[in-house]
Order: sequence, then structure tokens, then C-alpha cells
Amino acid sequence: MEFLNPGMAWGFLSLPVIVFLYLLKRRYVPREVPSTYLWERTVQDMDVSHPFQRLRKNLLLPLQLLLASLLVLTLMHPVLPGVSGTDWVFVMDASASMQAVSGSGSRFNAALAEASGLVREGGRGDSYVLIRAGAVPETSLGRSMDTAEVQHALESMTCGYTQSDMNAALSLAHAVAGDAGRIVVFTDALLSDESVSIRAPEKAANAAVQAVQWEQGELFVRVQSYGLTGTRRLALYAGDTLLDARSLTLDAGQSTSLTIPAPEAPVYRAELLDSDALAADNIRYGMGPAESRYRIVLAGTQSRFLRAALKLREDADVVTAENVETAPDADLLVLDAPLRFVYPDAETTIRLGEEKQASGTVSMPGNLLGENITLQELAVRSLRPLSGGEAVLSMGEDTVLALGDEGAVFGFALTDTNLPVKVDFPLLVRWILDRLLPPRGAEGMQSVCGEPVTLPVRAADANLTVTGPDGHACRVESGTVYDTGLPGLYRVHVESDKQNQDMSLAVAVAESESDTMTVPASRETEESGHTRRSSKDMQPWALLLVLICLFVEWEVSRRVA
Amino acid sequence: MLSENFLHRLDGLSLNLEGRVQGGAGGQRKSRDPGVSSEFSDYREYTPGDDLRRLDWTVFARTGRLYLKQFMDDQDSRVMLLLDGSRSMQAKAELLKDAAMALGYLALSGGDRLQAAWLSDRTECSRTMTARRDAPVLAAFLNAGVMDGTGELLTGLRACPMHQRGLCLLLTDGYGDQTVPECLDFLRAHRQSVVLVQILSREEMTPELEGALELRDAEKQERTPLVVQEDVLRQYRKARDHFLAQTREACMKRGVRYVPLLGEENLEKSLLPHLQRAQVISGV
Repeated sequence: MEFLNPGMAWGFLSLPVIVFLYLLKRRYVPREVPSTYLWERTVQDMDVSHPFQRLRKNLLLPLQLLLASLLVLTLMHPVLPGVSGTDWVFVMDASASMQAVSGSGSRFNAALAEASGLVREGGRGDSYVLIRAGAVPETSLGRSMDTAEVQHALESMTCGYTQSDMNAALSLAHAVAGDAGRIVVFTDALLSDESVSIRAPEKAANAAVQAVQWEQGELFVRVQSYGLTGTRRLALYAGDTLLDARSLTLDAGQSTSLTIPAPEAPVYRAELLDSDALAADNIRYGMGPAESRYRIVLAGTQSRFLRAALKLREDADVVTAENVETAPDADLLVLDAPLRFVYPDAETTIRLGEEKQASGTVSMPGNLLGENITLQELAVRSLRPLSGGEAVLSMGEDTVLALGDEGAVFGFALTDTNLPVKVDFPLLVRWILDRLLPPRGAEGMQSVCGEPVTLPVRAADANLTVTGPDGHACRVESGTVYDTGLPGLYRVHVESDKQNQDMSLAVAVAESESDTMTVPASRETEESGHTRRSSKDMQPWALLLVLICLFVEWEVSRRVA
Repeated sequence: MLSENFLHRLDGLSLNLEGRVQGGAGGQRKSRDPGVSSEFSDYREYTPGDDLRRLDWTVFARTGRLYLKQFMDDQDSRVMLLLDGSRSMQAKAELLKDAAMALGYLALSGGDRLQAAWLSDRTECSRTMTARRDAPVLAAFLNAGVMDGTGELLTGLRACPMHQRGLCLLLTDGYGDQTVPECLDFLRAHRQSVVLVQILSREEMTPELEGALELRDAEKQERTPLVVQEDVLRQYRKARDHFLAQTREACMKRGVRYVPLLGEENLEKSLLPHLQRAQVISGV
């Protein structure tokens, strides 16, 4: 038997310490006190016990000596000499570019087949570790000498659409391999580490859509060629509507761009229709214009009370206009005589009656009381009773505020009432705006595969559901989407107390992954120095003995107590 | 329990709550904080996100600027009796319950809202008591306390419902290196005005032990083997005095009033002077 860590033999010094501890033990009369806290502090301050006693017969002592000895032996790592072999560490690059097709299959499948061949040809004492190099390197298989298990693990490995962190993967491989391990990297990435063997694929010609951007009514698209020459067909979509389809002439290593007029749409898509080495970068999504602030146009009144109350809405711009015609882009028009909050060009559903003297008390069929709006002592000089729409506020028998398809309409003008100076006037205006302003539309974000995306919403206030390009939906708790492993369009549904909102997230393969022409040269490291003299590890058995001994010691100790 | 005579003496007294406090419902004492009652306190300029209900539209009518109204909050005081329910308190159960009854009676006499809680690994709270007629309810709650907890005092405190600003009377022996500082920090963090009543039995103040003993902790079942001799008892007294000084210092550092009830044999005689010295009562 040999010991891999003989330095731990100093642990045998614990044996005399155990004996010494037994010498220190003595018998005491039990006595219960409310708390030993103050006594413990007393003991800390002075040494009150007589230091030694005679060593008595006690089964616990030899058991504890045996336990300590076994523990030290375990730490010294005992091994039995065994067979020799090579410790292989296979690093499989699982980045998107490894999905590039050259010949009969993808680069990744070719790499798996080659690794599988190495396992078949390996010696009896060889061991294997499989590391999958994705955005985060992970060990797919810990050290195993079971070739069937290794083959199964290889068959289970999949390639992703992210970039790979080869430095981290190599760092992990070196840590696993130790001094004698042999590292083989199956990759198409250029590596500076010369201590590893590299199995590289062949070059392949590819073209990729690398930019889709809408600005000021024009859609910009850029297509990059990597070793591909000739004509490729390109289709452009605004949402699901085909905008344009044309042929592009590509030169190897050059990019071709085009700009076409395009209407506003939430999402644009550019798609190369002809197949090439890498399919994942042939489709790319671009986002439409971001939603702007609300625009409220105040026309035909100079009331500073009304203007101030409208401005309390923080996400709206309040603009004053001479008349309605000069404000075509308004989300909402605010007009006086009578006071109205209406949508531009909306159909009228609320009718105004004949002008008459106001009489009766204010009542609210629509529940404004919950909003702390009471409108006590509201005075109106003359009014025009409203019909149609949903009655919100009445005076006597007459409806003086109603909600309809066109918006909110009052039955009186601002100059005929004390409403603007009532303390609940700003609350009433806010209540009306909350009901009339349209919910915000889609907003778009872009990212690359594997990168987390922080959504521009407060996660604490909303339920976020993200549906990926494969249709798989999941809840997002922290406001950040981490699962962006697939390229394509993600739908984000935001549900909150105030409103529901849908956003789009376009995820594309990283530009560097499209370059399938740049590959490293394959190389082999020297075989000598990688052979290990294998031995049978006895540490688990020693540990088992420790546990058995510990159990016996515990049982004896319990009976003695 | 306490004599009728002693309770009668407490009738003219009330707890000194350290100035204004904040409690639950409208009451007799004034809060330090601006609140939502009708007494106007101040104006401040409107900022986006403020509650529009507090916007002073009449000021806007006069000045054209948006201001927010602020109000004083009129509230009564809330007193919490926090009782250490751990096993170590069993030896001084009578002293603890008597002191708690006296303090609770003072709170009820002063018209404060009172709640008591036994703190241990299963914290138990009484219902809220509001008047002197609730004294029997308090007495019944105190008598029902068995003090068999084994958990940390802070754990019990965390399980106790904390109200807004009020007065907390914490009755404990304070054993543990960090027990008192942690509990006081917790209560101060919850904006409580705190009085610490430290209770030790006569046996703990001057133990009558001798010989080789294995001292068993009633609460934690820990065992401390010890040969008790005169020099050990001398050292114990030193450790005890140091511990009491540490507790007092922890209170002073945090602005907490400290009432030591150490080995008291006649509480009715000694309690009021202690409370008066610590400025816990007024009206004497």
C-alpha cells in the first residue's frame, strides 16, 4: 500500500492528546442552575479545575485512539498500485459556429464522432472527462473509465446557439487534467494555449444577416459574406407582411447593405432564403420605433387650473393649440364650452341637450367616491344635460359628465362652474385621463444568444411571462431574462394592476459565430508525459472504517452516559 | 401577586413614555411624526408621485404653485410588556410576574393600550388591554406563563407583532453575550422607546455552592464542571458585576432606560424607587 499524501502523518500526534484529555477528566456532582452563563464567564477568567487525574479503564479511550488513527490514515490517502493509462479530457466547443455544416453533417457532430473514435481506440486503463464549452463551461461527464458511459455521454451532448467561453473551458480542463492529463479540444475557435491538442473542422462558406434597423421610415439591412460569392435571395418583412424580396450579389469577405422605405411596425424580419453553412444566422429580427409619450392637446381654453391638473400626468406632454386642426398627432384633445376630453376623429355617442338652469344636488352613479372625489358644493350656473354613454356625474335628474366612445364629456363649460377650484378637481382629471389614455403599445429590445436581458419594467409590480421562439413560456421573477439560448423572437407579456403590456425581444446569433471561414490548424501534443500509473484508491474504504468506528464510539459513549 | 394596597399606590402614577409616541388609534398623546389626522402641520412642494389627495388646490389658486399639505398625527400610546419566557427565568418567576403586573397596571392606569407577550421559541401574545378594568386579564395571562422556552430571546422578539412607535418594557435576565444588545438594537430599529428591566434571583446574585459540581444549565442543558471554592465565588462575583455593568452600558449607549431588579425580596418596597430613578414613571 502506498500513501498519496504521507504529509498527513503528523495527525498521529493527536493520539497522545486524546490520552491527555482522558487524564484531565474527573467526576462532578450534578446541580441544576437557572443558567451557567455567569459560571462559564467565571471559568474563562481562571483555571479552577485540578489539571490531572489517574487514567481509568474506559472503552472510549481505545476507540477514540482507533478513530483518530483511521482518520489520519484516510487523510494520507491510501492507494493500491493498479493498471496504467491516459487521462483524457475532451473539450467540446458547443458554440453556434459549430453547427455549421460542412460535408455530410455539422461540425459538432463530426467532433463527437471523432471523440467517440478516440474512446474506441483508447487503452484499458484510460479515463475520460467531457467538458461542454458553451457560454458557461460545464462538465458533462466526470472522470470515467467506463467506455459505454463515455459513449453515452457523447451521444447526449448538444450544440447551442451561444458563444463559447473557451478560456474558462480550458481553465477547467487544466484543473481537471492535472499534470498528467491529456487535453483534446474540438473547436473552430483560435486558441493561444499550445499545451492542448486541437481537432479543427474544415472551412465553410457562409452568409449572415447582421443588421436590421428601422429609422425614420426606412429599413436598413446588412448582409455579410464569409467566403461566399454569388447571388443570394433576401426577403424582408414588416411584422408578417412581405415588404420586399430581391437578389443580392455577394463578394467573399464583403458586406452588402440596402435601405428600403418601410412603414412603422413593431417588428421587422430579414431572411436569406438560400441555404449556406450556418442556418441560424440567416434570419434576423429588428425592432420598430419605441413608443413615445402621450400627447395631450389643450385647445380653446386658457384655464390654468385645467392645464395644471393635466400636467400632473407625468408621462404626458400637454400642448396648447389655437384650434383642433393644428394638433393632428394628439392622443387626446381637451376642449372647453362644454368641457370635453375627446379622441381625435372619434365617433360621437354622447349628445348635448338644450341649455338650462342647473338644479338639484350632485350625485355620482359611477363610483368616484372610491377615488376620494366628492365634489361637495359643486356649483354650476347653466348646463346642457347629456344623453348616451356611461353617466358618471349627475345634478338632480341631469347627467353632467358621461363617458362614451369619443371620450369624456361634461354638460357645462369651465366658465359656468366652480369645478376648477374644487380641491378634488385634479383627482377628477386624473381619473378621466386614466380611463381615456390608451395603454402603451409594444416596445422592442435586442440581444444576442446567451446574454441576459433586463426588461424595462418594474418586476415587483408585474407578472412577467416570456415565450421563446420555440413556444416555451416561462415566468420571469427578477425582471431579467436569462434563458436566451435560442435565436429568434421572444414575446414578453407584462401583467400588472394598471394594464397589460406586450413587448418583443429579438435575439440573434453573435456576429463572430457567423465567421465559418476562420478556423485553427489541427495539432497534436506529444504523447509522452501523459501516461498515468493508475492505482486503486483506498480512501473511500478508509472513510467507511472511520464511520463504522465513529458509530461504535457513539454507541459506547451513549451506554456509558 | 401584588397586594391591593400596593396597586392602590400605583393608581396615581403613569408610565413616562419619553415624549411623543405613535400608536394605533387616535388618543391622548401626540406623535412626533406628521400623519393623516386633521391637525395641520406644514406645507411642502409637490413632487411627481405624491398623493394627489393631499394637494392644496386652494393654495394653487392663490399662488399658481403646487403644494402638499402635511398633518400631525394624534395617536395614543401603545405599551408592550415583553417577558422572557425561557427556562432560566423559572427561578425568578415570582419576581418577574410581580414586576410585570406592576408595570402593566401602571400602563393601564395611565390610559395606555397594553399588550403583553411571553417570548420564547413559541411566542405568545395577550389581547390588547385598554383600561384598569383589564388588570385581571393581565394577571391571568401572566399566571398562565410557564417559562419553559429554550430558544433565543431575539427569536421570540422577531415573532412578536411590533406596532408603530411605542414603549417596550423588556423583562429578562439578559444572559448571553449578545442577547441584550441584539434585542435592544432590534427594538430601536423598530422605532420603539425601550425600558430594560433586568431580573436576577438572590441565588444568582450570591450563590451558595461548594465542592466539585457539574452545573447543568436549566435552559440549554449544557454542563459546566467546576470545583467551587472561595476564590471561585470571588471570581463569580467579579464576572457578575462585569456582566451587569455591560448590560447597563449597552442600555446607556442606545438611550434605553435600565431598571435593575437584582435579588429583590420585597418588590413592593423597592420597585417604585427603581422606576423613579430610571425615569420610567411620572406623577410620584
